[in-house]
This record gives sequence, C-alpha cells and structure tokens, in this order.
Amino acid sequence: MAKKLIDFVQKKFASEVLHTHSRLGNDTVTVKRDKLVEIVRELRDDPSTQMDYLRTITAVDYLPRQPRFELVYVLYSMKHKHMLILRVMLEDSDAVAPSLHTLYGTAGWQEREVWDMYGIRFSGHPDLRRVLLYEEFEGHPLRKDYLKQASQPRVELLARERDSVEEFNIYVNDRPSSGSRDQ
Amino acid sequence: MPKVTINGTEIEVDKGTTILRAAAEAGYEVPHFCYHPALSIPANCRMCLVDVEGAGKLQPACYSQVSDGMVIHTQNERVKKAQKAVLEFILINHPIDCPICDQAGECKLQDYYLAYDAQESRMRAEKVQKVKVYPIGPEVLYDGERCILCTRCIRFCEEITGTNELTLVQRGDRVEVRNFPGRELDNAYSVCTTDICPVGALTSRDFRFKCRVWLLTSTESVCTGCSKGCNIHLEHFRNEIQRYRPRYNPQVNDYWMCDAGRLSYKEVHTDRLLHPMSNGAELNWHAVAETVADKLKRAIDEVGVDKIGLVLSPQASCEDLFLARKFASDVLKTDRLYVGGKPDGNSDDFLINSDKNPNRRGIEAVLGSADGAQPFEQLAADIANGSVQVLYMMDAHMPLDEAAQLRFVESLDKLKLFIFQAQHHGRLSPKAHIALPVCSHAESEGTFINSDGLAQSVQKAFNPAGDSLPHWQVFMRLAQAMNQPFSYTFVHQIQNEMFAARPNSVASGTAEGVPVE
Amino acid sequence: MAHNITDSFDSYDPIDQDINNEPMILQMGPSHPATHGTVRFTLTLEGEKVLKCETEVGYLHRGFEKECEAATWTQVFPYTDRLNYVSPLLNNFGYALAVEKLLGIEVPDRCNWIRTLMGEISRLSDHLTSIGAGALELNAMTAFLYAIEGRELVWDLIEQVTGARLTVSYGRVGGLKDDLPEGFAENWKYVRARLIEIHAYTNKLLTRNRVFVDRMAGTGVISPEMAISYGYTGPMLRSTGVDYDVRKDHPYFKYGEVDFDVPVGSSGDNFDRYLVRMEELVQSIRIIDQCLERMKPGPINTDDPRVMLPNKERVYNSIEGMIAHFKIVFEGLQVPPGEVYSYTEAGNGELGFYIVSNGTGKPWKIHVRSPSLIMMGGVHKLFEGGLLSDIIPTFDTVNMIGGECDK
Repeated sequence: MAKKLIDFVQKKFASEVLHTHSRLGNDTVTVKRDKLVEIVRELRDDPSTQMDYLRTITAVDYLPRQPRFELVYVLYSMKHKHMLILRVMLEDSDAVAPSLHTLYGTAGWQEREVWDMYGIRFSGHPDLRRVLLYEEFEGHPLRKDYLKQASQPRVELLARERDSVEEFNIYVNDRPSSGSRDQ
Repeated sequence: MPKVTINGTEIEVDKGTTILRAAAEAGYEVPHFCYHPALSIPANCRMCLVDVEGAGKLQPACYSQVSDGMVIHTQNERVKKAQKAVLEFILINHPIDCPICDQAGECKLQDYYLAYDAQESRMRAEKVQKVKVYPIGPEVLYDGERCILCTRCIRFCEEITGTNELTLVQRGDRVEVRNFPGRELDNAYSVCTTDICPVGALTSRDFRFKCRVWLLTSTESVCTGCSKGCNIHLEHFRNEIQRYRPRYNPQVNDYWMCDAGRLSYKEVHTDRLLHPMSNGAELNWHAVAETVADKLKRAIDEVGVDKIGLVLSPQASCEDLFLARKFASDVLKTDRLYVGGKPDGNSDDFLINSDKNPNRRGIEAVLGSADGAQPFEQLAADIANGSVQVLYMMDAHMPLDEAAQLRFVESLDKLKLFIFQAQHHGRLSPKAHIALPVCSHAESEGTFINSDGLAQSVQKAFNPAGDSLPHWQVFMRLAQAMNQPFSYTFVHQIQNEMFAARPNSVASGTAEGVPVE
Repeated sequence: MAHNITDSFDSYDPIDQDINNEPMILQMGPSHPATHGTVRFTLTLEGEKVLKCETEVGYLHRGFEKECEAATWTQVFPYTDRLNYVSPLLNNFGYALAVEKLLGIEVPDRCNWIRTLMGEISRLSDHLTSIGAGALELNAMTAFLYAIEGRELVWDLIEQVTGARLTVSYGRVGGLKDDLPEGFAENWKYVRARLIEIHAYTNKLLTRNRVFVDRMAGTGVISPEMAISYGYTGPMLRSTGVDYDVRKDHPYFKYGEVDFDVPVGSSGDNFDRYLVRMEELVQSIRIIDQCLERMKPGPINTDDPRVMLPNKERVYNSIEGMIAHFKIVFEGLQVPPGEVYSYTEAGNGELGFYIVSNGTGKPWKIHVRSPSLIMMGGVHKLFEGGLLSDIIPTFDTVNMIGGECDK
C-alpha cells in the first residue's frame, strides 16, 4: 500500500506533480497550485482513495529559500486508513492558494489559521479573518522575518468604548468614594 | 586538472589542492585541529586522516595533495575508527573544564567529540597535571592542561608576526607551549593566538570569564581603531560590546587584527555623553533642538554667516558626513569646513596604520576632493584671529599634541557659540554651550571607507545608549527645528543620494566565500 | 428642545412593533461562568433558539509555535505541557514520538510501556475532568466532587512519578525523565479500587438520572459525515459511531500489544459522548493493568549519546560526559533535516505534530494539530438549531481546552 497513493496522484495528474517522496512513512506529493482543488476532490471522491478527512493544514516558511512558503495538507481516509501529505510551493510575491472550504468543513477554519500566522491568502475563502490573533495585529507572527520580541502597537479604544471610559472618569471624579482621602 | 573521487562524488580540482580542500569543495567536512589555511601545515594532530585507496596507511588530508584518479574515503569505518582513536587520545589528559572554560561553546574539541567520537574513554589513569594559569604574555594566558599541542600559536608567531616568541618544551605527555626565556608573547597581534587556538588553552585576559559565548550576539562590523578598517565580528550581550573578533576578508585583514584595535571597543562604553545639554543642564531632544536653532540664529545675526565653522570628524560614517556637509551648506550656509579626528599614532607594515581615524577617505569622498576642508591647525589659528566665532564641532577628538590640545581648549573661551556634538565628554564638553550626544558605530548603521579606498558597511548591533542618536539624525532634528527639514527616514535613502552624487569614488569591499578554518 | 414630543409620540404605535420579528444578538463570553475556557460566542437568537453562532477563540494565545522555534528541541517539552494542561503527559509523549521519528531512533521496551501507562493515567484525568465539570455545569455537584476526587488521586500518582501535578515535563526525546518510583504498583492498586468505586457512583448518579438524560440526550447532535468533514476526532467522533482511534488504527508505543476496546456511540449527541468517555475510563484502567503486569525492568532511555544526556556521574568525572552534556544542553540535540507528521491519540482526539528540522539544535517549525482548535471550527454546527441552554452541556462534552485550542 505504501506507494499506492503517490501512484494514484501521479497517474491521474502527471503534469501537476513536481516531486514525491515517502520518507519516514509519510507519503508526500508536491503538486502545482493551480489544480489543487481538483486533485483533492479526486482523492476525496474516488472509491479507491476516499480521503474524507483533512487532518491538518499548515505552512512552512523557508526564508530565504525561494519559493519561500510551503503549504502542507495532510489527508486521511477513515475507510482505508491511509494518509497522504500534499505540499504546494508558494512564492513570496504570490502567496495565494485555492481554498478547500467546499470540500472539507474544517478547511475554512484551518485556512484562517494559516492566513493568521503566515499571511497566505486563500482565494475563494468566504470569511478569511484572523482566528487566534486580533484584527489589529500587524504582521504575521510565524513568518521568519517577524521577530520574536517584536511588540505590537497599542490598539486604540473604539469611540464608543472611549466615551464610556470618559463617562466613568467623570462619574468617579464627581463622586469621590467614602474612603477617599479627599473628603 | 586532476579528477578525484571523494566518497563517491567525482570532482575536478586545481593541481596542488590538498585532500582537505577538495573534500570541502565536494561538500564533506574533514575534521582538523592543527591545520589553518593561513599557516604552514605540520600535520601533527592526525585528526584529518582519510583513507586513500592504494595508499595502505591512512593519509593526513590537510597535507596530502590530490593526484589524478585518486579515490578517497573520508567517512568509512577505517577513518571513523581512526577519528575515534585520535579524539580518545587527545581527551585522555584533557581537564573537565568546560564549565569554567571561555572556549566552551565555540570549542572544536567539543564539536568534534560529539560529531566523530561520542563514546566513553577506556583510560582509567589519573590525568597529568600541568600549569593552569601561565602568563605567557601581557594579553594572553596559557592553560597547559587544555592544550592539545596543535602548534597553531607557535606557527602564527613564526610566520605571521615573525616574532618567534613561542616553542614547545618537555617531552611526552608533559609537553607544553612556552615562551623562550626572556621573551613574552607581547607582539602587536598576540590575541590572535586565542582566536586560532582550537581549544581554550590560550585565553584573552580581556575576555576571560567575562561572558559565555553562547550568550553573545554577533554583528558584522568594522574596527574603528585605525584607517585600515579590519573586518570584525562585533559580539555583544545586553547592549554592551564584549569583544571584537576578526572576520575573514582577504582584501583587508585576512584572518587577523591587532591587539589595540581589538581593545578599542572599550571606548564605546567609557566617558559617554548621554543626554543633550545646554550650559550644563540636561534637556530633551525637542527642547535642545529649539535652543540650538534659537542660539544659532542670534549668533549669526550678531557675527555674520562667514564666521561660522564646522569641524567634520573622520571618526563618523560617510552617511553622517554627508548630512554634516549638507547641514553646513544648506542650513548654516558656510563653507568653513575643518577636519578633526584623532592625532596620528604608531604604525607597522602589516595591519596598523598611523592614521587612527577610520573614515578619512570618507571625508574626501563626501567632499569630492582632499582639500575641500581645511586642517585643524588652521581652525586654531582662525579662532585666535577671530575669523571663526561660532563653532560647530563633531567629535571630542583633536588631531593635536597634548600641549596644543590644552591651548586649543583654552582658546574656545573666545567663541560666541560652541556647539559640541560627540560620543564622549572628552576635554571639550565643559566648554560647550550646547552638547549633543551621538552614538557609536555599534549603535547605528553606516559606511566607512578605509585607507585602501574600500567602502565597508557597519551594521547596527544594539540600541543607542542614553538619549544619543546617530550624527545624521541629530542634523535632521536641527534642520527641522530651523525650518529647513531634510527628507530622509532611513539610512539607505542617504546612501542612495550619496552614491548617486559620487558614483566612482569608492569600491565596495566584501569577503567572498567562507574559508575552512 | 425644538423637537415636538407629542408629534413623535403620536407616530409611535406599540402594536406595530413585534418584538419577535428581529433576532436578538447575544454575546456569550469571553468570560462566561458556564464555559470553562475563555471563548466568545456571538449568538443570533430567535427566542431561545440559536439561529447562528460565531465562535471567537484566541484569548489564551501564547505563541506556542513561535516560542518553540526559539527553543532547543528539549526545551519544547515545558511548552507542550501547557497545550492540553489536563493531560500534559499525552502531549509530552506525542511530541517526543515525533522528534524520535525524525531522529530515527527507537526507545527501549520499558520506556514504551511506561509511556503507554502514564499516557492512560493522563487520559483518566482528562476524562474525569470532562465528566465532572460537565455534570457540575448542569448543577450536579455531587458527581463533580466524585470525579474531582478521582482526578486528585490520579494526580497524586502523577506527582509521585514526575514530581509535578500539572506541568509535568516528564517526556524526553529518546526516553523519560525518570523511571517509575518504588511502590507505584501498590499505589495504583489503591487508586484503582477507588476509581472503580467512583465510576460506579458517577454511573449511578448520572447515567439514569432523568434530569441529566433530558439535558444530554438528543442535544448537540452531529452526523458522522459532518463530524469527519469538520475534522472531529476522539470521543466526539466516536460518539457518532465512527470507530476511529489512533491507538487502534495506527498503534504506537505498546498499544498494539495490549488488549482494549474502542467504545462507539450511535447518535452523536451529548449523552453518547458522556457514555463514550465513561467507557474509556474503564478501558484505560484495563490498559494500565496490562502495562503494569507486562513491563519488565530495564533501561528507560535510549543509549545514543547524541540524544540522551549522560548521567551526572559521567558529567562530573569524565571530560567525555562533560562535553556531551554541554553540547546537548547548550546547542540542543542535532536532529537531521527533514519533516514528519506524527500523530497520537490525546484526551480530546488526534494530537498531531508536523515538525520541520533544518539540521540544527532548534526546530525550524513545529505545528501542532490541536484537536480543540479544529473542533471549535465546527462547534457552531452543534449549537445551531438547538436551544441556548443546550450550549452549556454541548460545550462541556466538546471539552475545549484553552491552552490547546489557542496554542
């Protein structure tokens, strides 16, 4: 069974495959970006593969190597109990990949995480927001050029929050508490 | 050209290449202690033994030259066995010193032990006791127990400095490196022996027990001790330079640097001017810029534009000088430029230049000619005869002898306004009406042009001490306060403009390739 | 005021305003008393019915993956403790297994037995917490006290072995911190007897309790297809009837040699998840018994000097040991370049590590596939269509752990 999945991808999408290996028991296929959705759909729907479970999506930043980013999709079949890792190389200047959210429920959320951490966009994603960090965060922390000690700018209060803080201050200043030394 | 096969990789190399070099080209590391690319090859450590087919015995890779058709194995069982044996042998008498040894962390013995040996010693005898702290020279201490007798230091003194201070004494397991009677390791490059020492046998008195090497951050920089511009690793910890270490550059300093330059880092942290001051009172930058603008304006009204002088410092980087000149011509509107800097010192025919200013060629490059600025003696005369009444001075150094310096400081009382912008207090800061702190080459980026005309860039290693700023940023602030702002934000914008203005004045000098050390 | 009050009052007809027309937006969290773990749901409600739920996580984000890139391979262990902090041993061993795969080393037999055993003990603590806290939030205080008593006993055992109760850092690449202490088997016998009692009490208190069953059964339902699509694993997935368990399907450590069953549910609701966890407690106890019975004395650490720290006697008395110690501590063990995806069954499901090494002492990248984060991506599917009050039991059985979810 070892090389079955690699052969499957190679046979069906010969022109898309860039590189394969199966080191350490991880069958890995590096494919071109453009037909990623078709390849994954085929892997999911073909009865001989049935990769119905997307284990994880992540990215690796290989700065200063080019292409800089590598997207990693780990697919698994609950029926056949086999696993395949798909890798997609992305250039720094063109860090966009097609979204898999139509194929797997979990893809949307995991793609958000990759966007959050690496700044890789997913075309066709309906709701590409940050997931672990806040919207005002500047930069993408798992990029290698993001310094670990880097500090983030202070997030300004929203106008309505600021109003309520000011109201509170006015309220407090007008009414010193009973234990206050001012009395 | 001979073709050789190393571990199955076929490679063509120049005639006369040693096996060690050929293996490095093919991508295989051959461990070695005694071999150093700049020194002669004694082949005495036996760490680099490799298996050459048909040669019978294992051959030292550092010494043996390749011949056509040679088949070499650097990683087979025979070689591995020999490597293990050599390391086990070397470690027999090696003391358990790693926790107190300055070399730990950058020690070849440590690296090779785990990479090539990683087994227990079979030796159960007591280790031989030798001298632990022997003052072999004024800057260097020797530990006999740690020494693996590679003789790199001895060959360095024979071949590089030609001073021949060191030799081996005694026999067998009692051999030690010693200075000849009546001599000491006191040549001008003696600390280089601690760099090339593969273990912690020779340690620098200055760096000894100061900082563990894995805590250091290394920044590529250039020594500012003289106009030679030796390339260095500027190694710092917690915003303080801990040491300089020479960086390989065959165009400038090869693998070496002088002891005086190596200790010149201390200047960065002594006698620093840390806050802007006006007549002895500390101010913030905003306030002091306003004060300077105000005082300059009034002084100019009083004495006229032609009585303003500006002293350029050859200690500053090209970017700083470029903005200084721009500040003089655009804001102060004066062409009375003078050159300051340190007075000349000793020199030799190797790396030490008599000009102790790292960037004198930078002033020439920025001004476009050598005589764009007048010498410092002229300034002393101009102050004396009253043709300079407002002085803006970069840097605390004066290229004068001791007596003349005192006279010059005395004569500053005549000035209407003395603005002093420097890294150190020196003798001048008490005389200054305004003192502006600037940071050292370790705290800012910049370009220095050495005596051979090579432009070398310096990287910022850590944040400036106190309120100090690079010269160029001070000029920017003052120009802003005087309503003639310069439009720069980053150093590279200045560099672009500078190199566009003087395209052919400098050559860029960088080391290519990493040598086998 | 120029505005004419009577005019505006006339135009206001309270009869026209049907308050039920517009759905209500309700912010639940981030610090809701009934959601253990800091997470915010923005709920769109029609009456009490949840129409839409948006989940927001990340309140406990500590930059786990970024910190790992700055630490040596060994220094990552304390960080893994803080992923799922209810079962830190499982994270320790999962990470150690991933690095060992990349290093290509095998650990001794006894180490594998201890990892299996301690992993299951950790799973006990995870499930007991989930069941106890779940019951508590449905007001079943007694069941909570029993479960937490069981967890205390388990933590006492963990403390004897590792020296710490929560942040244990017991795993090592190539082995373990220490062997089991003397008298561990006897202590386990005592804990085991009490755990079985506690299991029986909890069973009596909850499983046929009308109030409990009404809150749990039929709420938070998910179909097997949906669960797989949303990447659910662990008890969540098994409650839907899919018998996926990494321990069984891809055995690691000694799971291939011990005898245990994988309980599965049928309806995929909260009650099934509770039953699956209850049964897994029993199975874990079974595994632990077999481990203690079958493990033999022997070394617990690999003998590769490039991976394992030498013992202290060698460090202080021989230069060889000293150098090895120095290099491993200060530069980290040298992991050959490459990447691997390694996965184990943690308390909440499949815990995967995708690690990349560039051949130095520090990881180039560590990605953790944390089951909680991925489950939170699909948790709205469990809430939508149900009642607001059902969120409480559903969120309990999802058992989101903040440290693991927010990394």
